[in-house]
Amino acid sequence: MAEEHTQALAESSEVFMGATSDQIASTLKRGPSPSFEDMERDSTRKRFKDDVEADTSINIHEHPPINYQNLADDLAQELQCGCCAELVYRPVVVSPCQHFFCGSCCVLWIRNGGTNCPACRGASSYVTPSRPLQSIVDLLTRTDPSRIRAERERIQADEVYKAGSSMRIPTPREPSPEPNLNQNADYAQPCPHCAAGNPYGWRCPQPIVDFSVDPELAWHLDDGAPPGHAYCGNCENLLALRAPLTSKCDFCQVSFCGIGVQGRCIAVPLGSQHPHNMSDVGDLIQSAEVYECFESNSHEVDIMLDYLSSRHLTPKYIYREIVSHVQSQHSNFRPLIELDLFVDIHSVAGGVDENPDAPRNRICRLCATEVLLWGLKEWWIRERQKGFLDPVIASRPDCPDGSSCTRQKDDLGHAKEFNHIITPRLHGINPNQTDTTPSNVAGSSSRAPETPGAIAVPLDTSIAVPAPNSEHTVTASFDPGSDVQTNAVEPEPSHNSSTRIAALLNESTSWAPGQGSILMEGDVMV
Amino acid sequence: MDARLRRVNKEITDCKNDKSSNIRIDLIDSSPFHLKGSFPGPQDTPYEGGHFEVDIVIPDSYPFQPVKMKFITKVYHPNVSSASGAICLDILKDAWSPVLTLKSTLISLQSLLCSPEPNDPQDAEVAKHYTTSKRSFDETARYWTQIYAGGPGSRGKVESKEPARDEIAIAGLEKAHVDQFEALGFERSKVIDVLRRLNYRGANVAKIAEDKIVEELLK
Repeated sequence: MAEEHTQALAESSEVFMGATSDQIASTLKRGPSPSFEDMERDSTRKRFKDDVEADTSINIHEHPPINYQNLADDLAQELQCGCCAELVYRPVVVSPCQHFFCGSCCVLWIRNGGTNCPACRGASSYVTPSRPLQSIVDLLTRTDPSRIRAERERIQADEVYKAGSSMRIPTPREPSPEPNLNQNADYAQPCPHCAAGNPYGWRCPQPIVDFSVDPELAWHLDDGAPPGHAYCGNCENLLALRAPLTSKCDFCQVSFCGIGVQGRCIAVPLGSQHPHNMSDVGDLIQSAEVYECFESNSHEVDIMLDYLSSRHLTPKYIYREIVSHVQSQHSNFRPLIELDLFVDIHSVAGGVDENPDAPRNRICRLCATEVLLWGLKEWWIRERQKGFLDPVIASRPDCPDGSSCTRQKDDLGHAKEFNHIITPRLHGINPNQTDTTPSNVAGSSSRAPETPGAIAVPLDTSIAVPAPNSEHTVTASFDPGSDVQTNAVEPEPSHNSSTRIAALLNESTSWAPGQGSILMEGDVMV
Repeated sequence: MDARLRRVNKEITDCKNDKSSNIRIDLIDSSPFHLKGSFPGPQDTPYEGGHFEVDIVIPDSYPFQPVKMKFITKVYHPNVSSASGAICLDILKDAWSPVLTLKSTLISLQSLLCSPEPNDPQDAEVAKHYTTSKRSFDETARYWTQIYAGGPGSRGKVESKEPARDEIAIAGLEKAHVDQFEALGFERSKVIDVLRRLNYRGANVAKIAEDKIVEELLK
């Protein structure tokens, strides 16, 4: 029987010994080891496996001719994505269970509310692209192009998943608490930290008493927020001021609960915040405030938006550059604070900002947008000096009336003919210190009309560029909480830059946990 | 998405090629997204010998959302609605996984028939019947299998072409009990309805006072 089998194998492999057998022989040197075969038999639970090949009886110690067609078929079978039932496309691996899927399938699973591994439903956190699987799949499809899936399917998958990006599977939501039917709307409800044995590991020293438990001790809302409590600037629920999850924005002085909405109810370090409602260039286009920054000169705004699109610059990138620039200035954020930019931007009351020179470490999403809008025009002036702007646009003569020109708003011909983004020439600038240095002082005086506070600040050109905020770091860093897919900010191609990928992955794991959204960064695969 | 259509077609083909599993998937019309699955009732259960049909609807986001299934064939089972055929099974809800297939899900339904979960019922009255008297429940489930799923007659009385449907047996009640209250002048269907609702079976018969039943009948 074994002889017959071997003969049949030899015949079928002869058929296959055509154009590609040499190639395979040179790359797939050995057959599966016996231990691997045993493992396969135990672990193979492929649900679409219909044609079980009869060649499991091959005794590999006798070195029979290898049936490459069967090997390739088996390999393709093993590398089938359990979700879409086809040879895996842009594979990703779920940690820690190591199940693999198409990147697009994993994204769709998460979008449809998946909170665990699609295969084993085990708790899992991180999903990363798999280079080894991609290599094997590439080999299979190169050898046999008929194994490549249909083009439309590939396009659809690429729209869902950006090759090479990692993602996080969100943790299951806690079941919502039983509705309290006895509550009285005039009295404060206990905050999540008020109950003993709450799941957050910290309890309010002055817990709020529920009206239904003791109406005498309940806190009437006419008396303001209960002691030790405030309202979250995002979800507007009561929070405990001293709870470890609570964070305060150093700009608007409003606190955030860290519980209500993941990624929103939080003030984070300046560099990692996302300006609210400004996730991409499209949001800038729709923002009336952006046009106001440019004296309603829509032509100059269009020039900037085109520039941002062509160079893949995101609002978050601009925001971070503005933050770096402000931090490099002697006055730091004081001019912005003195403008009352951050007053009353939430519907809940914030604390009092007693010292305008106090350090500003954390920021909320709304304040980040204020910073972006405040610094957008200045940033654009600095950015134009990098010299990447179309020379035709850059060489337009300055309007004699400057940025206060009254015709620029309605007279499109005039707006097109003359430059209204006036770049003042300041004296005493070291010509070597240009472009990317945030301490570049150009543009400071043109800030005069809208930011009178800034002009009083003595310009200090000797301030060193803070290294952590240098442009390169900003460009290459990970984008944790983007709502949708963030377009990577990548001026230079990043192919084959494995050290950079490693850096990205390392950085990504250090971000705050519990971000429910999908992370996207960098086209690094293939 | 093209991948959804390809996967569903592949599942239908795979199921057709698989002669060993006894699971069938058929098209209802020309759409591959509305199907009819069927399987034989599992052996050594009251469903043995029956042929059970399941309505299958493939949602737009399949396989990332669970497939929608309900019984077309009427089934007497704690986790299946005796009226609508709706199924209470975790993998059709939050325990769904995209690596499950139509075939594996139908196999799960088949095994649900083997192992009812009366603590997580879809049909509370049926579940009560099951927990009150397993023997009486089995009898009713077998009768349902016989009249709705083409199962063999348990007492050898299915020879007649159109077996008279015994409303008392369908409700899982004893004829003597129904007769007893019918004799008091109540309508037969009303008696059946009340006795079924009160779960007047097995040990409950001794617990429920006759006055209480009359009271219910007078409502």
